[in-house]
Amino acid sequence: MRNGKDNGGGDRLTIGGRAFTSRLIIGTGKYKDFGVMREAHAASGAEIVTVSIRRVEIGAPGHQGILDHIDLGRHRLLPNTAGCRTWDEAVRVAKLARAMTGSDWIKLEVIPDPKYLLPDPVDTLRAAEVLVQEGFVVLPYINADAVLARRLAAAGCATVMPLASPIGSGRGVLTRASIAIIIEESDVPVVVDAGLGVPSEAAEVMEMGADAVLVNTAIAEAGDPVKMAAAFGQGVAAGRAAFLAGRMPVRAQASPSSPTAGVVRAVEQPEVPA
Amino acid sequence: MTVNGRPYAYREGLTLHRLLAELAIEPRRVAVMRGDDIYRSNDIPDVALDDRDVIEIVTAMAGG
Repeated sequence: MRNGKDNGGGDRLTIGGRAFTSRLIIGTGKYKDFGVMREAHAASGAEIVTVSIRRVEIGAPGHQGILDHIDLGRHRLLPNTAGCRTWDEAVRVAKLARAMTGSDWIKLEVIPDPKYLLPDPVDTLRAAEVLVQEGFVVLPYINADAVLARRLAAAGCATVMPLASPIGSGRGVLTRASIAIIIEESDVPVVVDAGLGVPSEAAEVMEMGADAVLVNTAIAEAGDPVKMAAAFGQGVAAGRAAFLAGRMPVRAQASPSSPTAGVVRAVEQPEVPA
Repeated sequence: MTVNGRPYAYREGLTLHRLLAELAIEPRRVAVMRGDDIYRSNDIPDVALDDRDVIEIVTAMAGG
């Protein structure tokens, strides 16, 4: 289901049958400490936070992960399959994530390329098909490819998550034209994930009609992550409101905002129609 | 046996609960995979282990 424009309960993002007020999904990576992360999460207004699944470090007692530092009353967990390079690794990690978090939700990442962290479309689709069959709510991370997005939605994915630019790059919306096509064509929510650097870029894709954005590095690596988290929350909300409001038409030429008649002139002249 | 990708010294009588205790791992925040079987944190059985077992013990970490 797409968008969930006012169905009685206001404007809601609906994923996997769950409705959310915030359209900002936030990560847990790269924060300098858990205290800052927690404050940033609260300031962002996000209701969904991502985590990764990793081996417990043997011989490091107390290495018990991050869950004690996430307000699970306020934030729904979205575990990812980051680090997986093939479809079968991703399926295995998704199952471990479900056992770990008790959640069927999985952010599917199949990434064989360490330099640009670009996802493998073939293995992503294959993993998605298996995971949907296994009852997962699958949110696949993809390049901004409308055909792949359609195939993933047809396979039963709950969303599609096209990238704006490479993960952690802060380069902004390099895939704008392709994301516009995905937004136009998609039957499932479009979550723009990766590469956003500042709130104006989040607002930009929300104005285009994206259903949500996912932000991690831009907040965690900001000078003041808590302030930046709040700013992204506002940027996303502003972009969404602007999308719902409907933008003005683009014109090739100027269109005066003040009346063209009755202008006080230095010398009496006949008025020229605009 | 192998635990989290490294060889681990198996001893007669070793069980999954005993292994977690030896590693000082609280079951509350981990999931365990033994071969193809996956166990939830609240539901890890105290099964006897085998010297050919491949065990994965995972937890939720930071990520985006």
